[in-house]
Amino acid sequence: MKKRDFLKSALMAGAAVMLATQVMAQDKIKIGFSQGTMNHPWRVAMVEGNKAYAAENLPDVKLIVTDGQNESSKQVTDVESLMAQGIKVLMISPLTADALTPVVADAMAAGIKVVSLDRKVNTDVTVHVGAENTPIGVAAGKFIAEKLNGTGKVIELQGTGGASVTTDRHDGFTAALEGTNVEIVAAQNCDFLRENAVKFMEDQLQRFGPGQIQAVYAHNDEMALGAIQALEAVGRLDEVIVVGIDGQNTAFDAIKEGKMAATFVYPYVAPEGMEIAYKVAKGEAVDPIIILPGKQVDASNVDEMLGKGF
Amino acid sequence: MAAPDRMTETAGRKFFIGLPRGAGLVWVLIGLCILATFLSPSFLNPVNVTNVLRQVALFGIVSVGMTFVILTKGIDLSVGSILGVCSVTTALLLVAGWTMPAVVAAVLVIGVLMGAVNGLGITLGGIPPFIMTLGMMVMGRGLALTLANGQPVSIGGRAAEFMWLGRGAALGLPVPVWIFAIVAGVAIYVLRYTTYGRQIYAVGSNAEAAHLSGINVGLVTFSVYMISGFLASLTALIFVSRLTVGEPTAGTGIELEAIAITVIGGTSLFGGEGGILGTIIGAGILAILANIMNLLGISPFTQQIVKGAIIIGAALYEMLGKRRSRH
Amino acid sequence: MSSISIDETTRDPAFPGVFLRMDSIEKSFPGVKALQGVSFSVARGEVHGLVGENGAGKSTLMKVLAGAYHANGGQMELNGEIITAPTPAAMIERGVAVIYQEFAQADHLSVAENIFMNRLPRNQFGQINWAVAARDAETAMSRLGFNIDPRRTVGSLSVAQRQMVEIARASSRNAQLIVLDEPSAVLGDNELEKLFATIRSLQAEGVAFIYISHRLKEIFELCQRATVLRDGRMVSSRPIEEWTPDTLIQSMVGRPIADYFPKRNAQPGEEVLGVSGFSRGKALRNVSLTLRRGEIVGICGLAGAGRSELLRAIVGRDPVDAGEISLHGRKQDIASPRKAIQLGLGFAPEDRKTEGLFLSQSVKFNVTISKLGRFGSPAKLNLGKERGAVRDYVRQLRVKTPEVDAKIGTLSGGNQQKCVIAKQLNAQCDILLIDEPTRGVDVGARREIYELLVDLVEREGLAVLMVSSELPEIIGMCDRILVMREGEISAELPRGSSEEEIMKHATFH
Repeated sequence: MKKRDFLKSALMAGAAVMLATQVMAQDKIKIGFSQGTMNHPWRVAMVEGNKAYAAENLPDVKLIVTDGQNESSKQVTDVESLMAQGIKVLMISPLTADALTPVVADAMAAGIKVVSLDRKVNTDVTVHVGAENTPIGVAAGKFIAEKLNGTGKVIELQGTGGASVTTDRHDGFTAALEGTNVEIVAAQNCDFLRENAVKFMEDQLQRFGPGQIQAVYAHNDEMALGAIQALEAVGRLDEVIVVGIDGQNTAFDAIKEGKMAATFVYPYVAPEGMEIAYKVAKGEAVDPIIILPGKQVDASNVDEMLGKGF
Repeated sequence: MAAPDRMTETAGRKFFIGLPRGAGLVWVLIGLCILATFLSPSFLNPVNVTNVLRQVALFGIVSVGMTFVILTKGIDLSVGSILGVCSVTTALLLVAGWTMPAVVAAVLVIGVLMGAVNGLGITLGGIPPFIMTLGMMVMGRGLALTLANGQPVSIGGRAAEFMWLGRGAALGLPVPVWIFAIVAGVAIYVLRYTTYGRQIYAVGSNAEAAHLSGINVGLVTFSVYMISGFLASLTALIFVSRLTVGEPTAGTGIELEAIAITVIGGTSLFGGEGGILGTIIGAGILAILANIMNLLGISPFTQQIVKGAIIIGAALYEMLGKRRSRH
Repeated sequence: MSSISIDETTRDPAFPGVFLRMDSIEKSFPGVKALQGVSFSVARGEVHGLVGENGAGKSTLMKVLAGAYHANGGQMELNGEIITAPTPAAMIERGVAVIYQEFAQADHLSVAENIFMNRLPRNQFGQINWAVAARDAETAMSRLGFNIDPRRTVGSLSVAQRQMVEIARASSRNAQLIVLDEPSAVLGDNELEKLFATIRSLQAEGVAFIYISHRLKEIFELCQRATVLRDGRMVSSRPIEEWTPDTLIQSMVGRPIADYFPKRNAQPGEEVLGVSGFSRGKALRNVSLTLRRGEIVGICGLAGAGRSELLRAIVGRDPVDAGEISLHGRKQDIASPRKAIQLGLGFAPEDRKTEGLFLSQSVKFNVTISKLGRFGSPAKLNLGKERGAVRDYVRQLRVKTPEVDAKIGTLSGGNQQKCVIAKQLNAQCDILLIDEPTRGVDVGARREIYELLVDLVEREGLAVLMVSSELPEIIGMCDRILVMREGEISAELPRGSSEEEIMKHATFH
């Protein structure tokens, strides 16, 4: 039967190699890393950075990485699967807080130590590592308010709905705008993706004619770059300042070229994530919340940052 | 002195009604299990087995509905969106303070109604099932996003009382597995031992002959879409319980998974052939395959390639079988 | 069986010379010897009949001739040239054209495009010259004695007209030998005459024909010689004068047939079905009839006269604008086939494959589907009881099938038809409406079906209303004959009427 033969040979081929590594892996410390999605360079950098660190520096660690493919139910299944493989520590960057909370609580209850990276869940974990998003939001708000002299209209391009990142970056921003005459006239969840940002901006630029928009605040650089693309297409880039977050190299280049006003470096938690997970696995004491510092990058200091992002 | 067209073909040994290719599929499943045991020490881990069974159940319930629809030579592309609408509705109603039984009843009714809209469009409107359910798929997703305002809806404090559905267990097996067992059991019985079940096969096999045989073709067609919607809403309830959120994007892509499971299980897209047993095995095969590849650390992208190859392979196998029996 | 010397068969003085010679053709498939040592020849300008039961090897032989199959032994000669590498293209080039029962036509293209498929006339820029195409198409058709607007789409034509287009296509390619496979199965008598006229006019130009048909009357009317195949062997090949219908049938089935139609002892009882004033536009015009228990009543007429329309209206498949039905003296409103079945009307439709059978399902499924209530409640079927009942029918009706779970699509036409009848019996019908009872059924099985029908009316007390295009069948089987013409019943004739009388009432006079 063709199907059976195909399956047999395909899996048999992997068997020999895998069997060998399985045997070797018996004595290693198993650490699972559940990533929510790999559809963004920032997330890829997180995974690759931590993997590289483990490969180079932690020979006694077996790191198992899963990709939730942007679906919460898949990520929940991934965590269940990691738990079934007997991991000691779970590193997780959850897609959304609520959906992953129950399964993380299960892991904690089962004695597995949990390190959450960047995004939080709504239950206690062993350690949370990430940058604080609210201060970044505030800084972005202050930056735009200054540049606009306290008056103007802003379009906000938001990240994934329901993620703590998005909520914090939004709340910080609106808090900073209180007391000014800067108002947000349009906002949309663009899921941190460039294509979504381009589509939304194109429509908004039709809705708001020339001179009606002074600034764009994007929750990440990908979306900011998408906004720039849309603005350039209708020749309105010089009347709008664009601000992003993350610290991508492409954003630094855009700032250098004068297309983007500023970005805020947002560490992608690697290799810090792996370092902390290893410490936790070894039983060392670690602070429950570790905040990684960020940095504002604009035309004044972009030269020293070129190429240092991801 | 028989002419070449006198070869006959039996419908398979009696036990395997619904497995037109005979018991071959079962061997694939057993073979995969044995292989998996060799490839990964974690496979037979009770937690892992439970996980796999749960996956089979989660996709299997919707696939049973899809099997009914495909048996009538139809297709339902909207099950994912119905799942989305029902997920959001479940969460919203829970947050609004409705009692559990009321929420369950209301959501199941919504699923049936959305399926009924599909059925009406197809029978009264004469719209081809592909187009009708495609439209419902797009509309449904928009409806879900509108109801949820684009964000997942948390059920907050109600999570504790609702968790038994998606996260509870009875006699060592997760509740969803029990639900699937009941759904599949009822479905098998209906298709084998009831007049209605026969009518489904007849309509899918030859609608005109079914009409002349006294079957109300429109009614039968209409009903299978309601069944599909119902099972999608049932799955939505389980999803919300499991994740404690009603996500408007829940179920995205599940229709393709359900179709793949049904087709791999031997149900023909041309209607009139196949059954639930095959669907169960199809769900098992895909779930074990995904599990093995996860345990071996194979990248999800590679997994997709393998899955696609299996689907094509299964379809080829069916085509070859048909050609062989023609000579 | 007798072996004929090849040279004896070349006798036509008008166009001397053999066009086709098939010599000791062998063809095998895995496990089956389809053809063994088949030899026969066809002379120029000859119409040669090829007869045999289903499965005798006629189609296989024609496929070998068409170049679709490669013979395993023996050789083929066309015009004296031995064919070494037969392919469909090569055979077409040498003047062989085969017209199958299922036409290979592009429904949505026009008549002209179908006639000149792949050979449309082009101007010097390579563009298609539609005017020339239309003109050439008209020429091709009028040569054959008919004309159809060449711009009409083939899909809009009647079956008879499509057949003419096929022949026009063959003739425009200068076919020297045209094979017609069951051409009359879908034609009424009027169209049949036109077909014969076309054949004869081509024959006069020296074109040879191989005419395959179950209808022996046509073989005798049209052919100069006839060859009988049985079980893959050539039994006999003789000039038509040396055959009689009985000897022809005998050669086909290998056993003597005393009387072709069963003896009948008709004792009609009370009226079971009364139709009055059925009308629907031009298709049915004020049709009334009665049917009594124990009777076999036949409905005949030309294609399009309304015969099948009448049956379909009676069983509620198609609506009527006016008219009433009464069953056993009580007025009934039969709005759907479901109601008809409930009231005891059984219907075996004209096209078995597309309307009567679920080809991918088992014999058992097909026989019981219209009345499963006999085997338990709707929510609890007794599968064992069902199987037993179907086995009984299979035995009773002598259906040749290895088991009741066999796929019905694999049964022969005759056995399939028996299953269709068994289905009506399972639904406990007492009035059987049957449209073309023996279409696509070979000679041996036909007799069995006739016997079955007679048995049903004489011993089981059914009443049968039968539509048929085969006058011998109507005459041989029916107690009363209703002749339809243009939606009306033009005459009711008694048993024993002649074909001429029937035809008189079926056509305009």
